[in-house]
Amino acid sequence: MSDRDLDWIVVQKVQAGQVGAFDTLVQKYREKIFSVIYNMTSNREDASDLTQDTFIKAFQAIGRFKGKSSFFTWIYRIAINTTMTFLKKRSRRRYISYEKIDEEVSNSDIFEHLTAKNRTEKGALVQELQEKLNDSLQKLSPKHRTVVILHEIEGLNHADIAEITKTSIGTVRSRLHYAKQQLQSYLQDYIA
Amino acid sequence: MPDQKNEPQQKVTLEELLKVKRSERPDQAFWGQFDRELHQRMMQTLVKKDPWYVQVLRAFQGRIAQTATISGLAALLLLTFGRSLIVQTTGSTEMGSDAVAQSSVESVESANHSSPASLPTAPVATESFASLQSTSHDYGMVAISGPEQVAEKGFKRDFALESLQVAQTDRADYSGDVAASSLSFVSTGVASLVY
Repeated sequence: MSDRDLDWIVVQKVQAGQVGAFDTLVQKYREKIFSVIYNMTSNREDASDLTQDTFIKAFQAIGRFKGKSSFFTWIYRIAINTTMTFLKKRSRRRYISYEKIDEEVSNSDIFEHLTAKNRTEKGALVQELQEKLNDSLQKLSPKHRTVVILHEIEGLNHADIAEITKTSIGTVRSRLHYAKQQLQSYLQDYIA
Repeated sequence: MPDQKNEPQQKVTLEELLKVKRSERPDQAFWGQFDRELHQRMMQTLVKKDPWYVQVLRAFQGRIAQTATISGLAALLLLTFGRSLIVQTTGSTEMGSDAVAQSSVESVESANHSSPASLPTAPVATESFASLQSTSHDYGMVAISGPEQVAEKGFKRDFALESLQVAQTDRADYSGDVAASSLSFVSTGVASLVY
């Protein structure tokens, strides 16, 4: 049974009145949704609030979910729309609070290479790169940021992104290409 | 042969840099608090009542289409039949008033220009009076034919002749009186009303 079918069964349970079944969906998707929103906003507290908003909206609207799309793309769409609305309101305010990068990743080859290249202390480099990555993402327009986050960070394919953003696959590819060009120029110091 | 795994990579790509972002994950304490807050907010959502307009909208949501259909049908019927009814009523009223106006004109004209043969005479008036008497009325009628009978029957004339003339035997005066709406049967000996 596919992931989509499993989600649909849970959704039907919630629709039938088993409110507790919704918790299964929260546990399954909360980290993914949080990650998308966090990378969109570059703020931990905002991301937490918006992730909760997303699940509450989904819970309120789950009665209208007919299963024509997968629950996964449906809730991602709610998350993206909620974040977009938030970003429009927050356009003049920007607070950045970072999540910690896993120690495992900070010990990876990338950081080894960058440390050797820049002759800096690894801890400082990790923080510096983290700031630079977040700044670069925030320089992109929300539409381009969404596509690059969903594809490069979350690993979604073009078709799913097109469904989530309600655009064509061609538009997704175009936005992705442009966004990556922009990021290349912002992060050229780190790209060997 | 050098060990490739232990050597740091020579090139960092954009995709690899972006993958670093995947590792920015909150700790378990964060998720514990997240779950508590989310459950609390969901409970509030379940308990919280919708605003009154949402409730009203929801209550009528299922019936909006039905009501709209019925209202539309009623409006259509009203426009179709109501309009023709109004037109019909207005037409008949206009026709009725026209007819009354026309008959009035005709009566005046016929009174002015009628031939001597068509004028009522005393016997004809008496016959008409007799037929009137045969029907039941809530007032009494007495036939009188002239000033002598008025005096004879003990009636007192409490109005001037020129104020109420009902009929006149003199043809010229009669037709003139009709035109002037001041007929008198009393003076000419045709009839008079007694109240």
